Amino acid sequence: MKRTYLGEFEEIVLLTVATLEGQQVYGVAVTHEIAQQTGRAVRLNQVHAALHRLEEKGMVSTHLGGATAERGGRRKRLVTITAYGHRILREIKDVRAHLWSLVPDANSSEPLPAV
Amino acid sequence: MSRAAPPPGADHLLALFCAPHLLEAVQGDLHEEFEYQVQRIGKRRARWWYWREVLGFLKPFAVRRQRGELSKSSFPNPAMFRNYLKVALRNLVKQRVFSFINIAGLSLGLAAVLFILLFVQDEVSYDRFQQRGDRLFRLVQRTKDSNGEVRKSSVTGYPQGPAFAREIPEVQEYCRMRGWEMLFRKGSEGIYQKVMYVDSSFFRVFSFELLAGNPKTAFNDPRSVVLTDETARKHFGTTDAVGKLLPIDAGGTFESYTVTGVVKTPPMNSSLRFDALRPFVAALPPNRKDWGEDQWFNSFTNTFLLLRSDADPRATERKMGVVFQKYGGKEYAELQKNYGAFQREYHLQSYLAMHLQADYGMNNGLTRGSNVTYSYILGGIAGLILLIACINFVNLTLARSLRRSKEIGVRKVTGGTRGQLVAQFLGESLLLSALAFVPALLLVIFLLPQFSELANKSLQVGFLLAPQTVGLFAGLLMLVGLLAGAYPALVLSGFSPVQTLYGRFRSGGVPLGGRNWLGKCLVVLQFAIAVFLLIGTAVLHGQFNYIRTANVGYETANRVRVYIPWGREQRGELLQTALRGQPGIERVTRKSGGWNANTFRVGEKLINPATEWMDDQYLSFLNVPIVQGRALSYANPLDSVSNILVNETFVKNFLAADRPAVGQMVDEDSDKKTRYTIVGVVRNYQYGSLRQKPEPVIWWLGKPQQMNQLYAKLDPRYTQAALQIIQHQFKKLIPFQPFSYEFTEDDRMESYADDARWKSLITAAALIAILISALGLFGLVSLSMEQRMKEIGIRKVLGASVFEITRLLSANFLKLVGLALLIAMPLGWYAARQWLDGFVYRMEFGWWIFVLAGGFALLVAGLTVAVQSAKAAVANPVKSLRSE
Repeated sequence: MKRTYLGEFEEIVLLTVATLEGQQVYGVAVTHEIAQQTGRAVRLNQVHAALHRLEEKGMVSTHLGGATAERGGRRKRLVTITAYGHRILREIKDVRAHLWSLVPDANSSEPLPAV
Repeated sequence: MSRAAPPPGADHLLALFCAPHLLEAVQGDLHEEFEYQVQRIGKRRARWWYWREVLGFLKPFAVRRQRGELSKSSFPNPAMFRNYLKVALRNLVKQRVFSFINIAGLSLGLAAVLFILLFVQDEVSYDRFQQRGDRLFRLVQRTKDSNGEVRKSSVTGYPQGPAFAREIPEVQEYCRMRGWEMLFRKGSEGIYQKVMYVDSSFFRVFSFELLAGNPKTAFNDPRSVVLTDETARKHFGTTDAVGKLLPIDAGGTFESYTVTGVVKTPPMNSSLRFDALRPFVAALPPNRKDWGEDQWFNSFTNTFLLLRSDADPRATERKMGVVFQKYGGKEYAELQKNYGAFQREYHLQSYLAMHLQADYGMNNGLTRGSNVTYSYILGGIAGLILLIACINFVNLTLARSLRRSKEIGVRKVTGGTRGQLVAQFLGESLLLSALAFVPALLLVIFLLPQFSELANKSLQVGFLLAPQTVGLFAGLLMLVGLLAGAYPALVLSGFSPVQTLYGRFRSGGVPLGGRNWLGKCLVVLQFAIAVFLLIGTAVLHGQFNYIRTANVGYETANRVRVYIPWGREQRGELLQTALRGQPGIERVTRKSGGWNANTFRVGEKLINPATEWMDDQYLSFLNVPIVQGRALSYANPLDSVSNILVNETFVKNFLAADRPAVGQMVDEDSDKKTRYTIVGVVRNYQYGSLRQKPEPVIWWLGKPQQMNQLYAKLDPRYTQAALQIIQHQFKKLIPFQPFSYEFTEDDRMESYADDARWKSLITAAALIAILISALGLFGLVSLSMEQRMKEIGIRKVLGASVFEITRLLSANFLKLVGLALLIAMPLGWYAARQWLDGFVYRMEFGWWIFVLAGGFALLVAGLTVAVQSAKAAVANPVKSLRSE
């Protein structure tokens, strides 16, 4: 499989989208969630840009939500993570877990697992 | 609580750049977050935050449009481009009159701008070829007299240059310089050539290429001369002239000097121009005392200083003050005792800035300086003419918009965006200005000699044809295209397709009709500019006429002046005797050339009147009466020794009022201490320019060698014959000398040569301005007639007379011209006043100026409008009403 490159910030954004599944996920929500969970100061345009790239890579899909009375009646662009996006997240996690398992200090007495 | 709203400016910006399919969601997010930020950090800081955040969205992902979305790009694809070009050319050809008006106007405007570019280019290029120009300076002095009046001068003395160079380490070299015309002999012919007398450091200080000879030794021998290649070719037929002998006038006889070098002829844009160079020592005053080391106050030369490359000019100036005190301090103190507490300071004037800094003057043979103001005034006039031409374009395009409204409608309906239309119309105006550029360039090439003469320069068209001006031309084209095309493009592209195609579209229908305020204002502006220039023209002509006919207090008619060359003054007496009684010559007289300034004392007071030597005929020759006392005469021996005449100004300024002037004493403040008695007072006459107040003058009875001007009064019936007699006698008595004469009337007008040039320039500019304005008006009127054809037809059928219709049609336009008159008159009055204030004697500034200028503008506009209106009014109404 062609390896898909995912930047660190993109990964955070994608993960955040995944954690928010089930709620209304859009720019502001993601920004606030990242700020809350990681303490990073994130700017709205960065999140939008990252979401745009993720959409291009096929890891999230977006659609315009219905009109509401808030924000001057402007619709929200709602984001959902795709199956492909889920798979990528899992792959990244597995690779990391594997690499962690190879770090000597982290698991000193256990025998090496079969590869 | 008032709800905080995000800054609207930022929102507009966002809407402008953000891709439409993203805009809604992005803006929504931003607004939501803004409200959150208002809670968190307050309204003011949230606004700043909002701006920052919007600018943060200036990223490719947000700006890029979705594929399939209508292109907003204003760059057309090739097919559309061909279409635009075709439509533009068709329009140009179909409406020939308007194309002609636009192109002709723009051509004239562009030509004016190109002329000024040439002028300014020449002005700023002066002396730039000097390689050490950045550290080359002219020594200048400021003298503040006891009244606080400051006099600036560039004429310095003998010791300054050497003393500064010796004592101040920053001064690397000095070069003193004087220059004047000298007579060179070639066979039996005498030719005047400009000679500069320079120190031997000349070639180390200035960048003039020596083609032959040794720069170190060229000026060692006082009898050496260095020629330019042009002069060498003139005298020897070759530039290989080193070692040859050249006869130069030495005051009465010709002496041979050895050519020690040949230098390249200086370029036209050099402040230092010469035909030959000679050693400085050859130009020193005959009296050795005048150029002693202590003669800091005997000023007669230019001094140029070359500083070291690391020198600070300001620090050098301070050191110059110290050196001046050290060597000239004694004389300084003595003079201060006699003349009151005047103060002298030495300064450095940049050689490169010299040409455009008029205040120190250009003496001792330097090329006449100029003034930056000229560039500004000329540039302003050219800009105004270009503006008038652009206004024509704007007005005519708007007035013709009805014809193109259908095209605009169709383009919009078939998917043309506003941006595309704007680009199309701007492109058309660019095309038009490009078309106007060709005749403009031809006009410039064709008229350059005339303009050069008006500008008193020798301009070359080469600068305009050089490759580096391409960028300049492109910029000028863009400027004109935008100036003329931007507003029409915006208006035309805004038409509603529904209205234009439905045929109910009337906006801009009748030119300058209804609410077209902008069009009206532009016409008023045009004519105001034209009238302003016309007023200037009228004032210049008026003052000039005043100068020509002014009563200057002496007679000039039928009188000629002949210059008796240097060293031949004694021969002048023979010539005078020979001419007396010859047919056609009524009177002959002689006097000294120019005015000399000497210092005198009246009692204890030191004064500096002008002095002249003349023979006993001169004042009666000029018809200037003696108002008190008597004239001087050679018959009275004392008159040649100790009697003088003074003028009324002298009496008023210097003599005590309680005693009669005649009989009072004046002492010459020199070594001789001669005492003179005033025997008569001469009525004032204005010999100098009318810009100046009358000067105090002393007249001496001259000895033959003191008078080098011969005046003759001719019988107007035999002027030519008399001049030939004078020439014949002159050649016989004074061989090898070029003969020339000047009518005293021309002599007098000589001091107004600059004013004469400005008069011609402003007249030409005013005529061009009124011409272009009238062309534009013509176009507007004929459009208006065309569109009111039916109305006129109906009016005629119902019984209106031709006169009534003409009046109806003209009134609107003429009202605008009238308004322009009202605006231009005070401005014209103010500007004219400023110029006239430079004259002590000036014309009466009457209402006739305005009547003349305004009348001319009204006449031109009235004729333009009336002819067109009358044409429409006499047309047969059947023709206009038959169709439909």
